[in-house]
Amino acid sequence: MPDERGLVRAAQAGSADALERLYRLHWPRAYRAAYLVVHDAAGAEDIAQEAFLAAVRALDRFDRRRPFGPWLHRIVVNRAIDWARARSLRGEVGVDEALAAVEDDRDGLPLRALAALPPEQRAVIVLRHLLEYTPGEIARLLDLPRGTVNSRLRRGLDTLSREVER
Amino acid sequence: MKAFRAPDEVGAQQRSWAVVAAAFAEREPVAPRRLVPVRAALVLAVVAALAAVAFSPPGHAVLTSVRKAIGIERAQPALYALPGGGRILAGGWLVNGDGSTRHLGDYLESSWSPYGRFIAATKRHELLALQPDGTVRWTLARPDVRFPRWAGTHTDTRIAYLSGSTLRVVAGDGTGDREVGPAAPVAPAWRPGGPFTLAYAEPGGRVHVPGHFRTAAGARPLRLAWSSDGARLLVLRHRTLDVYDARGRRVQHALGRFADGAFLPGTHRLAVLAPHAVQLLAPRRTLFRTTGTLQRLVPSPDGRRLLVTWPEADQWLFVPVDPGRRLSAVGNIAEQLGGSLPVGGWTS
Repeated sequence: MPDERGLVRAAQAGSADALERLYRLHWPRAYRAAYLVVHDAAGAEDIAQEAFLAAVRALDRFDRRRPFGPWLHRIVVNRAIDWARARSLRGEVGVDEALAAVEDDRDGLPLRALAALPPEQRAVIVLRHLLEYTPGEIARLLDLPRGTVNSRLRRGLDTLSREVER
Repeated sequence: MKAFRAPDEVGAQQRSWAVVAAAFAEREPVAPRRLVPVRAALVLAVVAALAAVAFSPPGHAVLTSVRKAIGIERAQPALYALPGGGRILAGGWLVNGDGSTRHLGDYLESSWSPYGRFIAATKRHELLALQPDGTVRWTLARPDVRFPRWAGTHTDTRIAYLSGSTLRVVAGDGTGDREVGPAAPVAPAWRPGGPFTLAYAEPGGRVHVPGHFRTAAGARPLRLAWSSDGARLLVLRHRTLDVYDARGRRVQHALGRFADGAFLPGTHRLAVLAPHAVQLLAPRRTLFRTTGTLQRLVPSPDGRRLLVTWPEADQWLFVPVDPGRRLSAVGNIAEQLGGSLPVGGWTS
């Protein structure tokens, strides 16, 4: 397991190798998380890429005492929620079309049902069950009351259960 | 959910790494600047003293002489000829390769039609199509007209322009004017070499290429520019530079402070103006640096020189792209062209 703080320190000092190791360590989960919120591969790629670019921009100011992953995931999930809301507002893709584009039960996941949830519920489910944050950590990441996180998790998972049982 | 894999993870990872690595290579680490209270007070005192001197008559004279000293010392006093030839538009003036100028009219902005046969010009509430001799072909009255950009073939052309905060498009013969949608005050950019494909900035800072892609939101762009083959789109903002391919995937990203930028004709290489420097990117090479503030960059038609405007020095610089060539500067631009006018294009 690479020493994440050491990699951040080396990247701050200008090591492209350290940055690449950080990138390879965190990219897959950042991209998957974005994809599960937006259900659009190009959009997820943009979101994950933009989060890493934000990391590069803020690298000199980054506090090495803090873990890198949660900081990155906070950017990814917030941007993914914004992206999903904006697409919905613009009406670029209708809900039916978006759902039809989602392959159901991929890797055992009810993706179609997940795509039908509001982006805020999708986000907390992804943070909890893909990125494995506790509800308290999710509340801090998203600047939400813990009760709100719990209720979004409960409502989202209830909906998913109903859809899976159909 | 832990076993979940998103589509094309490896490809997405590789594409994004190219962009992130390039951004990291271009980044300029900023050393933390902390003014202790005593130093901050000292700085404020010096600023106050300078301000007091500046507003006194002798102080004002000193500042004026300092301002006059800005610029290239050995600048030509007048525009005898355009290095590399061609024709340049600046507001209502046409500058020919031999240095002769023609006053087309009192226009705020102007730009070339494809092949340089006509000129789109603006007055405050009017769009006009002109011949290069200044003859007006047609006019169209619209409120707050800005940023006319002309595109097309020998037989079919369109002019995109902003009227207030709305993007509009009119045929090259002045007919069929129609609204496209709300737009930010940024010059739209036609994609070269294809059907009429336009990139423009939406009010929220997204760049939209209708029928193709829309970028993520960001600060309002300063400049949109296509490469001459239409394969790359530059979106330049004050603090970021992004290049997209024709499918809307970002292929280049750089951080810095930018004032203007363009692709060198016939290449995907970028020339940018940082406020105090002219640079080529990837790899970054500084062609010219100054303490003054540079404003506009326009490549010559052959891509071998960059016209850089420097309003506070009242100079135009012709910066060679190839090493070993000498930079030339021309002064007294405002006197020759009746003001510091926006350069609308350099054509052959």
